[in-house]
Amino acid sequence: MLRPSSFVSNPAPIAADTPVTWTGDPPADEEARVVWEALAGAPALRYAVLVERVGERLFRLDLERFGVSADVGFFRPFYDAHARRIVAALAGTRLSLGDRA
Amino acid sequence: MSPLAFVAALFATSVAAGGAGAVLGLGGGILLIPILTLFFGVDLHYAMGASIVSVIATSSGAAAAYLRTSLSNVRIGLFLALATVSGALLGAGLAGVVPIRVLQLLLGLALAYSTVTTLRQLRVELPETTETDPLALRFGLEGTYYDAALDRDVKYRATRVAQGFSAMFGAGLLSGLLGIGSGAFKVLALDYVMRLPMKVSTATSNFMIGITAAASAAVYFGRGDIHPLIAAPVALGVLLGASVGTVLMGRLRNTTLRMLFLPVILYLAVSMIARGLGLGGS
Repeated sequence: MLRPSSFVSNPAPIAADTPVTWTGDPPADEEARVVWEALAGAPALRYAVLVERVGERLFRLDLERFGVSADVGFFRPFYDAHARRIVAALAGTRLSLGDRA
Repeated sequence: MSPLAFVAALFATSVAAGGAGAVLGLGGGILLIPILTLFFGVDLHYAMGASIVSVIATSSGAAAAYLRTSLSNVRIGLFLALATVSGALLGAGLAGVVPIRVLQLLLGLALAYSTVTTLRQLRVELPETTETDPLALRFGLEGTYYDAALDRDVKYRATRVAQGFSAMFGAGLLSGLLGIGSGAFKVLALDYVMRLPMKVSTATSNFMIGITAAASAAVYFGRGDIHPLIAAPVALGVLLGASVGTVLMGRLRNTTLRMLFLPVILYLAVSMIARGLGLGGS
């Protein structure tokens, strides 16, 4: 999570109720895997729910690695923003957004 | 590199950048952005977010020490902070409208210009102030400090206050747009435009940088560009480096300081122009 290599810096807004599904193979890279895990077991998730889940998982990962130093509530908005960027980067390749989902 | 080793490397690098930033009055952030992106592979937006936090840390650490030595002029700093904070807020608002490459090019050209003026003044230990600005008299923009290198008290008074105020607005604008403390421009305005002694300029600049950066940081925080595990080691490292840098600064002569300052500005100018022209990445 420290060296994000593929995300969209300023993603275009996506409607909160947009259905999202995973369409590609299980990913090898860590951040994509977090999204894949968030979607695992669910045929489709609403975009807002997915972002919330991914943000929470990213936060938990940092918390596991760095302990209390990462547990500063002030920075929590970062993880949701980062989740939106990762999802935007995966959209169209490994994620399907919209009615087809 | 493991995540812990990565954080440790970030911390060590930030100590060095913080030391340099405090000595030069740059705030360290503008040094850290290229280092984080080029050598650590951190995304530019997160590098800028960490930079803006580190700038606050540098300013807080160094300014506290400068205040004890009377090098920082709080009155002048707070007066000019009106301009820098306004500029920073406007700059942050405009960041999504003006193409970043245009801004980088403008910044590079402006820095190149400041290099020329610094070369001209290379032999000037203390500025010769012959003008009396009514605004400086009205607002009491003057002071005295003991210069250990010259072994005497140095009295000074600001000149060309309106021009300095405008230059500070521009410095704040760049801070908001690029996520930097824009210390180079603050020093330029204080030293070259307002004719304050270099040591007072760098110390007051350090004091002001944090105030300006705090305004910009709110925008970066709101966008989610401040990664805690990048910003935290960077801020702590820079704070430690700034403390060491401040001790060094008190023992250097102004000409020595400017000689150190010159290659830094040159490097920044060339890299900014290259980026603006699309030659050095985004």
